[in-house]
Amino acid sequence: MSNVIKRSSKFTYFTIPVFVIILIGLYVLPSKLDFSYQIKFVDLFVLIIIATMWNLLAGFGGLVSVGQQAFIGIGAYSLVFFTDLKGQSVIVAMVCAVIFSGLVAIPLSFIVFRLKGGYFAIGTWVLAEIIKLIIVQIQSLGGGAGISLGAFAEIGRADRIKMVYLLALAVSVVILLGTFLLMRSRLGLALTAIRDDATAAGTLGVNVSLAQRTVFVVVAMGFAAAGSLIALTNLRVQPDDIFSVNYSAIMIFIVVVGGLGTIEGPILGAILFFFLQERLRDYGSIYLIILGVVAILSVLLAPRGLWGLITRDKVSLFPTRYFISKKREG
Amino acid sequence: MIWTNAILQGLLVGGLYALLASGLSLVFGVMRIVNLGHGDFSILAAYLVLIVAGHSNLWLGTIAVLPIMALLGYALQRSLLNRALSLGVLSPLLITFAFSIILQNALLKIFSSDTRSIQTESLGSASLKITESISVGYLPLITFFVGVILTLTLHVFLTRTQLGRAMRATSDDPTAAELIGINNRHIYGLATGIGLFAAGIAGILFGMRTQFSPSLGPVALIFAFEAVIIGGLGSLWGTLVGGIVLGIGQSIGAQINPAFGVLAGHLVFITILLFKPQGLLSKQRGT
Amino acid sequence: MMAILELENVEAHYGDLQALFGISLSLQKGSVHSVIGANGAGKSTLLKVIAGSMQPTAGRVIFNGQDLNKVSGFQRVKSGISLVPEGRRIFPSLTVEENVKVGAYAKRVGYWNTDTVRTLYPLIADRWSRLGFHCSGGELQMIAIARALMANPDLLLIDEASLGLAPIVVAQVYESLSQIVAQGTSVLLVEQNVSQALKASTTASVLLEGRAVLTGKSDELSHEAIKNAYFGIGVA
Repeated sequence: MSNVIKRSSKFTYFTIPVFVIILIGLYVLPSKLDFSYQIKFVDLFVLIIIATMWNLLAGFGGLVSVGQQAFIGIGAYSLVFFTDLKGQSVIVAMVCAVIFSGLVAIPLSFIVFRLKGGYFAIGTWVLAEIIKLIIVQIQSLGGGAGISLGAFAEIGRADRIKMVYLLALAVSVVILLGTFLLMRSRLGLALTAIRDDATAAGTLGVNVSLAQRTVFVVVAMGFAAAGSLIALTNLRVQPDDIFSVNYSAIMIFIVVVGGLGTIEGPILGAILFFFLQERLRDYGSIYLIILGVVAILSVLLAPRGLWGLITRDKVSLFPTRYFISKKREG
Repeated sequence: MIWTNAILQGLLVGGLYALLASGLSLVFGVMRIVNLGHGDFSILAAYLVLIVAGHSNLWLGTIAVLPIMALLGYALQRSLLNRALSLGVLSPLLITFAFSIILQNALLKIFSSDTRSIQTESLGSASLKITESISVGYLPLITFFVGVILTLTLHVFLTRTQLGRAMRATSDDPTAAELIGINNRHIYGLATGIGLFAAGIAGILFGMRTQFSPSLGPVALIFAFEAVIIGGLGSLWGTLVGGIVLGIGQSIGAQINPAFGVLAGHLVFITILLFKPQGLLSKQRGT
Repeated sequence: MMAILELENVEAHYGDLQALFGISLSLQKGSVHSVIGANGAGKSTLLKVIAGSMQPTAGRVIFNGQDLNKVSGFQRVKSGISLVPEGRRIFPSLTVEENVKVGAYAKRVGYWNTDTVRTLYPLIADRWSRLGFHCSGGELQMIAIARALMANPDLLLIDEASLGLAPIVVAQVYESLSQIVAQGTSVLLVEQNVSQALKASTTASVLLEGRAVLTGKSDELSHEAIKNAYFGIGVA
């Protein structure tokens, strides 16, 4: 018997067909369900996107940020800019918004990477506030009152929502698969090494700052996609809402409770949060208090999140690590 | 003259920022925890004084609330944050962020988002005339001096007392500190207790001169943080200087354009971060 | 003569790895006992267990007649045990003066104070305002011992007393030991330098792979016996 290193877990043969089935189901959904349900799904997809991105940044990249709403806002405003002010189609506008956000993230990373740890976290928050303050000055973007999205004026409501739904589904799949592939790549390995011990990783030849910067930019683009979807759903972008730190609270809660550092965790957490939000929506501030308390309990008592609790780290539907399996010789 | 006045006002506000920042800075210095809820705790103190002052009088309220803040800090550190410290760098950050969310929403629930202020009879509006065109409010003046005194007190505490030495020792090397009889968990508790005590002072003084609401916590945190970074990590006096520089920056910016004040402060912060990231008065430690 | 320290069948593990096997030891009050052995023999582990930074997985540590089972590391300093750790671990951002002064945190009364430790180690007096970060190896060792003495311990544990030090400094350190003992402190010394250790101690043990394979009065142990014990020659 010899040891063989594999990249897939025994669940992979289960995951792939199930994933495809779920995808087909979701694709076909709009023709079966009322559009009010489709909107709910879009909400869920957005939650999965922002959670997966935050997890990529913090769980895999080791960078805790409470200012990612900056890129949600940039994405939302960019979308409105490219559709309404530049006349592009929705899909093209969204791609532009995503690319623009990535480009903006580059110089921002130079500023914010001067800070480490907790101060990096606040630094990202400050950045979000600064960006909000700047955007509020721009009258053509609506100033403090916000701006409405006119791009869908001619399309009927049902068609609009179906389009947004399919777009959100596509983006979610791209983001999930993208994150999965990224973590399986050399960059992913570098990130894991950096997260464990940045100095040691550096001495092994890992370009720590480049790896972290890359993740920062990629994640900014993901958040921009989420912001665009939010703008497309609400048909309105308001600075206090789109740049709200509550987004950070939500994405952190989802990842921490779902399972930091796994791809399955954020998905599970998002589903859980989605149902919680439905249940507790009427209670206003109390539900955020409950989230906070649950998050604290989760950090202290279940550091590997719900996914870790359920599977005891033995199940990996989206395997990003290496597995040793014994293979018979001959 | 307008500019002199602006600079003076900025200087005095800087004292408040320094007050806010010193607690944040101390806690970070001792155990590398950045308390993301620091600003919210200072606003909490203002609300607590409102409650107590409502039943008795203001000064009794202040005297009662400050020890409560200290005890709260000690309790939270020993029950939750100490455990989080042993779980890695992410955990304390996540927990203090949760504190921030919980505090803001709890205050929102109890007090609503209406702005309030702590009534101080005449003190709040009284001012001292310095020259023909420049006068300073008593309250900002007092706040500034309290900020300086607190910084001085902390400095003396850390450098000249046995407990202060023990705190610095624990910060350097917690394992070695245990070997000379220091109980780390207790020291960390004390640090957070002092941190919230200072945050409480800042919050109360702030509440006396301005309208406040639950959403001001994050703003307070951001200003405290900028003061710490501008002044330089690891330096208490740096935090004071940083607060003053930030205050002056905001004041001058507001003089140019009232809406520009806070943004001007942010720009000063970013400039320092880009060109002198270790801060103005940095004291990089020998480790 | 009373035994100030007694170890009864102490065992210790690092996870699944066993580092100490049934160590039994008795240290008489007012004496110096050296623990000799190669790297990895378990000497530092033994000191950690006595000082309380590590919990034994079996056996008892009895100090001044008291079972230290529930007494945590920092509390043992108050009870009278001080450890000078391997690597000295001086606080780098504190000055020599502050390092020494903070050693008195446990507030135990006795002969040792800032004046008497400076008499013991004049070199420290010279470096009084220097930052811990800037001190050399020999200075660090003396500062570390001085810091530990400020707690006026009944039992002083020194881990690797002469490691990395110049011979002249080693001599000074060992010379000071007799004064320390004269003031009433018993000493447990871990050493790789066999001859120094034997010269300075009343009794000695040799550890080999976690076991005490040889124990006896320092002046009665033959070089041959020690060598065999140290290297595990002819030991079952």
